[in-house]
Amino acid sequence: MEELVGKLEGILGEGEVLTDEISLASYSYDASGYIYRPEVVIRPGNIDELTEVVKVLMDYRVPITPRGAGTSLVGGPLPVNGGAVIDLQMLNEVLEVDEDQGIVQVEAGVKVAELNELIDGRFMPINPDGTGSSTIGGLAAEDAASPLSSVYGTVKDLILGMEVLLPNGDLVSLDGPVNRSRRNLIDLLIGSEGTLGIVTSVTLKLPTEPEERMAYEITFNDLMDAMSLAEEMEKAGIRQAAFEVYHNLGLVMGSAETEAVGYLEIMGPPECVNAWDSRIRELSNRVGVTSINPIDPYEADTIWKERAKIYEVAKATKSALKVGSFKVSPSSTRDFVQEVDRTSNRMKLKSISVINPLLGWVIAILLHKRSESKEVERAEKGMSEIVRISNNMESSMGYGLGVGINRISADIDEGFVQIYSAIKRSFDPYWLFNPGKLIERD
Amino acid sequence: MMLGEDLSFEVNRCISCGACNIVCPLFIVTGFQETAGPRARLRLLSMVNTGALEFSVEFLEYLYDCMSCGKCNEACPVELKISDLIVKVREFFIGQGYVPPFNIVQLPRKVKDSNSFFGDSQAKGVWLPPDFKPEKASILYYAGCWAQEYPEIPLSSFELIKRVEGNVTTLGYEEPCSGRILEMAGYSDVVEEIRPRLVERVREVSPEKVVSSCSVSVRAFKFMGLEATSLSNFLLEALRSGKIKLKQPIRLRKHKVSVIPSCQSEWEAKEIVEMVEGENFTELPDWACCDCGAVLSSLLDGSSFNKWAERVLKEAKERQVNVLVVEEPSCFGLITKYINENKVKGIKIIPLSQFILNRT
Ligand SMILES: Cc1cc2nc3c(=O)[nH]c(=O)nc-3n(C[C@H](O)[C@H](O)[C@H](O)COP(=O)(O)OP(=O)(O)OC[C@H]3O[C@@H](n4cnc5c(N)ncnc54)[C@H](O)[C@@H]3O)c2cc1C
Repeated sequence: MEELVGKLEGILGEGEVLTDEISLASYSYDASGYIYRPEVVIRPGNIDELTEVVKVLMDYRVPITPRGAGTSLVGGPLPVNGGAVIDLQMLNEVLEVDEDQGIVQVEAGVKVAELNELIDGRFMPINPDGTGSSTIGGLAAEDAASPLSSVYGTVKDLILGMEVLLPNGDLVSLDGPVNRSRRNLIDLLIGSEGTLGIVTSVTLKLPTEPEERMAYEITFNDLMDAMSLAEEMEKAGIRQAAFEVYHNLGLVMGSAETEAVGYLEIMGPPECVNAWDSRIRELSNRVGVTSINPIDPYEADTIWKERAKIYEVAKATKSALKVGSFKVSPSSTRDFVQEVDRTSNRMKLKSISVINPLLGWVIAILLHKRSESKEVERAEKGMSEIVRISNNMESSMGYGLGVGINRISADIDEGFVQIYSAIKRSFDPYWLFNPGKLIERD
Repeated sequence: MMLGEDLSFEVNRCISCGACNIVCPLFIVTGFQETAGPRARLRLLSMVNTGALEFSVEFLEYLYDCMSCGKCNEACPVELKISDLIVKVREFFIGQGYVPPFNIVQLPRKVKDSNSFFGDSQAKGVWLPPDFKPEKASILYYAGCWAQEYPEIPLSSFELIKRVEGNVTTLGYEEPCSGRILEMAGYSDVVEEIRPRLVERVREVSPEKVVSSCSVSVRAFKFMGLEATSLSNFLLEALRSGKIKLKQPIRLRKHKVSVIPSCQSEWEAKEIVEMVEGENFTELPDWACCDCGAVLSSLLDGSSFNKWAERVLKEAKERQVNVLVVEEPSCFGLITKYINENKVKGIKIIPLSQFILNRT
């Protein structure tokens, strides 16, 4: 170890290779609640340094865990097998800005808040944690999603190209005009959670801010009504910019008896938005919602961009959150959410499910007190249980947030594990890039 | 659980999202080093609490190694007052008998002996005539510890206040410490002990209002039920109401001015300098604020403050700033020291009060 640290310091100079207890502890957590301490933390200042550092670590066969801002909810940037954590936040150069096209090329450590500042009138619609602190590298690695993903897609839909450092030390560029095969490779790397390579820079297109917006708060007696409303709106050609339904929100916050509260936003040219508005009210009536009230688009902003509802719950219940993210087929959404309820009841914990009906995206949240170790244990157990159930219901884990430590094993998804393992071995024969994440080693 | 129930509960409320990090000056100037930000302080406290991390001398020192700007207090989406919580934790450890870093442990004795954390009992009134005695007045000018190091600050401040209100006095050689720095260091018991002295001295001059150069002290006077305001706030009002009139500035082409406000203020200093300088004014990033809170970290090995100062001066130079106005006397002192030690060229720093006085 000493020899290795010496070599690393030879590359970075002192001060950016950290081995003291306090620094190691401060890179042992993210937003998931898990704790795994690295043996060394490395903070390269540029891509050349990163490349050299990775070569040395590979020579010494040290596990490498890339880290952005550490906002992962699934333990992604935690070194479950020890070894090195590489903090990529100092790779934060803006390499190119094309204002007319809305295209920017930035290094992996650039944060969402900064992307929002780059071009007037354009913005980064995927701001997963809401505070703007996550990095574009982290977003790419998780293929992050947001409530606005119904219109803007996930991060992969914004990414045009990227540059990646592979485990063999090669820095490869997948930038430039995209043909099908190059696109396939980009898509393979996006969402690979740092297991195949380290993203060093990303080229992405920032969308323009919408012309007109309208937003609503809708309450439902039955989650199915929310599902039907989403379906009806889709059939009617209404562009749902975001529609998120919070199941149990009232219950947890100690207010309404309604089963679910939905927040809906539509955006587009004023003519469309106005026409959609009356149509939405009509459809809501037909579906039988309990209430529908317009809200200020700025309030909607705080709900999407600041993740306001999730933070409100954490604040009001003074709880930590154990979070899992799932993609579920529309027909089984309701059953899945009921299973989340059942599991949380069994674990004597409160839960909230956040459902995006259009995307079939369900975020299950188990609330627990971090100061009570029994509750923490029950929350972890509950989440594993939900993962198991999701598998039986043919849903898949890891939309947006990533899979991380929850790892997909062969008994959950045999085909995936088989192919991914083969790819993994060809990229990373010693299994050193972010081991213990995404898939179970076969 | 080492921290006891109440503190543990608060510390564990952190949801670890990192919103506090992106506003933290030290997190930013260290190139986003997780260790430097507020999230790490809370998460590590919770590890110490459960025994997952050893409680050590280094850890206690770490708890003091921050700019104490309070920005994290406002950033938390679950409304944890992080900076205040860390002060409570310092207090808790002191209460348990743990000994903070050397220069911090010295603070209570120095303040008790000399009314200032410099520990020099005769120095506080050096800017006044030797036979100065406070008199009854409607405004009390509170000079603070750093008056003795940079007499030009209290002299220019006092002069400005006098021009605005006439009837002003100050506590002079016997001016007691407001205790804010002790409070931030976790010595609230010592503050209780020394505050009566301040109350007594202030009563003797029975002012209607206190104007304080030391902006962190404003809070202490408010606790005493007195109307209190920072010097910058006072000056801003005086400028707005025309009680202070400025000479037409000579607009030099290569002249760029910026300001480092106190983290405790509401950006009055920024407004003042912008008002005075017009187009020659340029803004520094939000995290470039500093006051007496930074003294705590400078009392450690000083490396954190130095990193901060280095980066602030770099940002200033990138904006072609050649005059940097500093609101807080303590910050002026710390930066002056940094500039002298590191032989920084091409930038002149000037206390806010003097900056205004020069233009009247
Ligand atoms: C309150 C809250 C709400 C959230 N809501 C959402 C949500 O709605 N949707 C969503 O998608 N996420 C959400 N997240 C999770 C998180 O914000 C995202 O996963 C984000 O993309 C992580 O970015 P990061 O920079 O913090 O990466 P980190 O957390 O540091 O790392 C995440 C993963 O990416 C890898 N990684 C990081 N940088 C690189 C790189 N340059 N190259 C290769 N691999 C890398 C890491 O190894 C790790 O596996 C939420 C988080 C919080 C705290």
